Amino acid sequence: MVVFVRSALGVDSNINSTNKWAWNDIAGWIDFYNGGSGAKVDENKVSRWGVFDDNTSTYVALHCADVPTTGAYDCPPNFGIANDDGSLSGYAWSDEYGWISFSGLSPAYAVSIDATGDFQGFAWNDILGWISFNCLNDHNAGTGGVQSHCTADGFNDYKVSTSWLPTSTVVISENYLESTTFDTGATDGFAINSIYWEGTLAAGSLIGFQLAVATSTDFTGVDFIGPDNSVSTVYTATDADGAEAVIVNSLYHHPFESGYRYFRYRVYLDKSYTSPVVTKVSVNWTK
Amino acid sequence: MRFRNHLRLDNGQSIFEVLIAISIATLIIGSAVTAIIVSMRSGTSTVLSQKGYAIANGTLNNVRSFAESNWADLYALSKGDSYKYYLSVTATSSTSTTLGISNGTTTVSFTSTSTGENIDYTNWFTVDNVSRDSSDWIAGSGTGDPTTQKITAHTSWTVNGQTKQIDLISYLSKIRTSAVTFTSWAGSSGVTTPVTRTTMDYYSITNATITASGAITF
Repeated sequence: MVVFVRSALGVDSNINSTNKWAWNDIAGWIDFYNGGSGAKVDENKVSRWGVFDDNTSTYVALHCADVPTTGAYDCPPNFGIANDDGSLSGYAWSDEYGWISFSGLSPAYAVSIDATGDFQGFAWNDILGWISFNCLNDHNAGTGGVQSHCTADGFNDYKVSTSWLPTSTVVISENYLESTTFDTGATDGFAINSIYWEGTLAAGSLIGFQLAVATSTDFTGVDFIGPDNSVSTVYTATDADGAEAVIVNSLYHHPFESGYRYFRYRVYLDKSYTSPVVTKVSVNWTK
Repeated sequence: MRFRNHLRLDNGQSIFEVLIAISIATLIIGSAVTAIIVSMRSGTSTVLSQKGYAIANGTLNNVRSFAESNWADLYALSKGDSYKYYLSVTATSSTSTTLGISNGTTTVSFTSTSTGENIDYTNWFTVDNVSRDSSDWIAGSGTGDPTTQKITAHTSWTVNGQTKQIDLISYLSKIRTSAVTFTSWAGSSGVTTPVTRTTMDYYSITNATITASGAITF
């Protein structure tokens, strides 16, 4: 259907020149930077192309809006990867392998761009199977596939990353646990220093924390807030090994303000594939 | 004859020789006096600076002592060079003296009729907030750290019409921390009674679940 010829000059791609690799067990590496002429992410779509590393004349075309300017290809039919604030969907095309889906429901899968610009998740092709955009993704764990390459061959840090970032860097999850009230016994206020957590932070999942402090045991109407004094942000866990002290910006939690002696925390969780797990939460404060 | 010739040769100094001797003596004595005066002035300046340093250092020690038991009061002070404070005695007993923070400056005077000393030292301290960078080092910007405050003790005095000042800086930290650790949430939901130690109870859970081992997952 489509024959592409690498033609673009200069750097049009906003994919990272180092973090540019996706992996498939059959086709191998796919380079989405392609010397600067590779994929480009904007607020509506992912356009341009990636190139199979084992045969640099073969492409993964991402969107009809911007394909190589020379060569024979048919658009229409119009295809392309849509970008909804980091959630990718739609089809890419490969002359060698056909349609590549970036999201699906059975089983549930998707490719996404997280708050740091890293691609997460898997795309699907009926010939190739899963195409991984980040080695940290845990898909088909223990049953081979892309995961086996990632762990067995030591390529434990490949990913595709872009300089484009979602506008909502952190979306508060609707899935959370709110702790009971803790009494610090402070008579002249206290300052929360950090939250230490242990557990499992799978790629594409979220573990975050919010804190609320109060002068009484009644937390009705007391806001749980994150690092920028907002109810819309969380102190985000980032350590994939699941053991991390997250520094709390205590200036927003009434430090050493007379009367404040109680706190509650919330643990937020979300996921793309694998469930995050929190096994320990430790709150440290000074009074 | 030889004796008379000798007398003729050693019959006194000429006026010219005397003038040269006086000039040389004046130069030597003048230089020595100048050196002594400079040395005395330098010694006096050093003594004054040492006293100023001791006063400023004492201020830092007193503020450190005050912060040990009154961190919240110290933290609540207005920050920056424009806000001057000093410690004053607010209460005394037979065994202790209680210090409090007052606005403005205080004066420490040294006078002596025997040495002629009469110096007033103006003394105050200022407080600044502290930020830390991502490596937790104190930095010009970053995340505010309310458990650390920058204290600058200032002491100034005037000598020979010139104002001298010593500024000593110290960072005070409230290092005594507490922590509570939760390792299971397998208890009851809806608990509102405050706790003072770890508990398996929690207030609410929305969409997330508790595993058989008491962990939180989704």
